[in-house]
Amino acid sequence: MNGSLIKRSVVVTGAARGIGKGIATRFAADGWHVMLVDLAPDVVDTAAVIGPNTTAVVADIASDEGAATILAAVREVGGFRALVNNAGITRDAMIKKMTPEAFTATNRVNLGGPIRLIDALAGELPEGGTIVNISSKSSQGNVGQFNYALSKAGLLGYTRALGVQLAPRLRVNAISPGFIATEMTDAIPDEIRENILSKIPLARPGQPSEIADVALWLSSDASSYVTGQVLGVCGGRTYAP
Amino acid sequence: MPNHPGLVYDASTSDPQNWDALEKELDEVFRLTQEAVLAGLPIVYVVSEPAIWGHQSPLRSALATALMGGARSAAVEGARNGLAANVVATDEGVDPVQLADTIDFLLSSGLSGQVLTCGTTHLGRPAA
Repeated sequence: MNGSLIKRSVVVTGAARGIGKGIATRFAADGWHVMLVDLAPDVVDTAAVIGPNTTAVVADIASDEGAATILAAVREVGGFRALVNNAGITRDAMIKKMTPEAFTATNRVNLGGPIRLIDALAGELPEGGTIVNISSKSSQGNVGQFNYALSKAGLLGYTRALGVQLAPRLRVNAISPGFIATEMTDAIPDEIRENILSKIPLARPGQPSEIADVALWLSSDASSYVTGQVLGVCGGRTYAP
Repeated sequence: MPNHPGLVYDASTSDPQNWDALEKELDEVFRLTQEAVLAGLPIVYVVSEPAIWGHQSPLRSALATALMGGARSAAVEGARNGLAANVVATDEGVDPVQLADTIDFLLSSGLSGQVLTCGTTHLGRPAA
């Protein structure tokens, strides 16, 4: 195994675009070897743009086969030190109209994906390794997002308990992003977008790089006494009226 | 037993051993919640208070906080037509009558989006 690579290698899921791409880019800029995981084949293009110190893995985190593919890729590069569970999907609908398929699919990726991947990979992390789960401010509840909020809220309890269970060998934390500028939020109609922004004390959407900075910090020794925590990165929205 | 109609889903002693078991339970929560919403009935999820704080297994804790997120979403959606959704957090030391009274209160009070704690886990451990 390449010891120096293990010290600076990270797996980022949902890395083809959006927040995941931002996280992958930030780690790479800091000198890490980044393993970008995504179901979308264009993760290969994203990895190529970020730079040579990357590995693209096309895999479905919601399946045992996908987890096995990621595990094999990790072993091929000689191990890793950090895991960032970012991949997530939305299938929004009011509860009355939500289909069982929309509920299950969202839950299976957003909550089941991290659980499946941690089950498969935690044993491969070295002493001092880290796990960061990306939740959402929507975990506090949102119209039309019963499935999404439930899955992202589930990650919070999972993170707290796992932080205890895996200590002192590993640290486990979560980030709860607010409104972040991505392709997904760019598609929101202007009127709704302005309404959302009016409720954010910092008066702007967050950038993927601002989530990435926190993920990098939680994966570094600078946060060595932090585990089982949830950090809200939402421009102050959580406690605003 | 609560006297008021509504969905009471008790997950307080549920202890899923793997993702498949947790997924099956959450699918059932969704099915029952949708039925309640369509019928215009209030919802109360009962969860383990120690699980909320991460004092139990990761999967059990995931179940507890997942239901909190689900209840809040149901509460936000239900606010338009007066449909309430709440959570009761309990632990093994709670008097069953007190627990039933709390559930019954939430089924009829009009409060929504709340987490009412019957247990004492949130108070921390007593001094030795």
